[in-house]
Amino acid sequence: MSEILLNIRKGFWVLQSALLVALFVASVAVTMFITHAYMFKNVCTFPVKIFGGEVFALLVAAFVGGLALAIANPNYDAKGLLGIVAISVFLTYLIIFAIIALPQVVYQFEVSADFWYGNIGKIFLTLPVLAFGEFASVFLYRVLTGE
Amino acid sequence: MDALTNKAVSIIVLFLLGSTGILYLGSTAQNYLDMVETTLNFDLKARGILFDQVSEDLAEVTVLFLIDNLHSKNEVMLYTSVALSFSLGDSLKTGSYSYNYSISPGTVIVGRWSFLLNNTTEINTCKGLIESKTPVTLKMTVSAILLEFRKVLYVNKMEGVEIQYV
Repeated sequence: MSEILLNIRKGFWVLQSALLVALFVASVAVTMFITHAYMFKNVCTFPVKIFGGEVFALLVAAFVGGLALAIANPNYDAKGLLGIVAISVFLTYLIIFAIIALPQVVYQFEVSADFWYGNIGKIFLTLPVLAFGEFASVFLYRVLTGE
Repeated sequence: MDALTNKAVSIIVLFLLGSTGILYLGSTAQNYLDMVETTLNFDLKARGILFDQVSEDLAEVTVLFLIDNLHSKNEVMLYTSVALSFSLGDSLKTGSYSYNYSISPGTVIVGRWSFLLNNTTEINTCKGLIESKTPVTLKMTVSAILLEFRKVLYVNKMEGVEIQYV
């Protein structure tokens, strides 16, 4: 019984750390999404800029987030940490979608399909940067600390 | 690093990152909502078309309209330009208007576009429209730049407007 409780506590800690890191990374990423990848009603965006300062900011945020995950979860092997990073990245995108969908919920208006296609497309563009940043910092931390 | 120190460091690092994320996400979401509310409420309205006959073969037509930024939120500043057109008999009249300053939230700008008619056929067409109270279809497009969000906002409208004597 106590082992089950211990596992639940461990799982809760993993989820909590992944969520907090996701909140941090999403706060940087969502700026990039809002300024460049949406279209609704009569508002048009300027062309999407994918190699701007936002990508660098996202890379730095992902690196810091990955480092925090590695510090917070020292008892996991490389495979376990990859899983935790994956959970965090998944939560990051859930938060981003929640924020960009907020106006539709608040003001109750419909958006065209392009709005969501644009955002899903953007996810494919930012996913490598985000995942690479987090994975790289996790492995760097492990190599430097020798754990 | 022993387990206890590691736990403390973890909690501090995660708390800092999480609270930074929550605060920044909150302000970004608020700005985003303000911008969306501005785009939803921003409007262009025709106020009228005035006809002023100066002489038998010369008249001035003035189109009045409102750039309505009354219900926008916070500091979402707009830089606008307006394109207008309508048909007068067989000829198409086109013009534009540019407001050179930023339009602050809660403001309504009265824009005007004037042109001269020096053709008796067009003047007579105008008079005919006024007497028969037939509205002309005014096509209007306002494009506004929301600088902070690097967005361009378009409002396209067609309104039937009666021409009136000054």
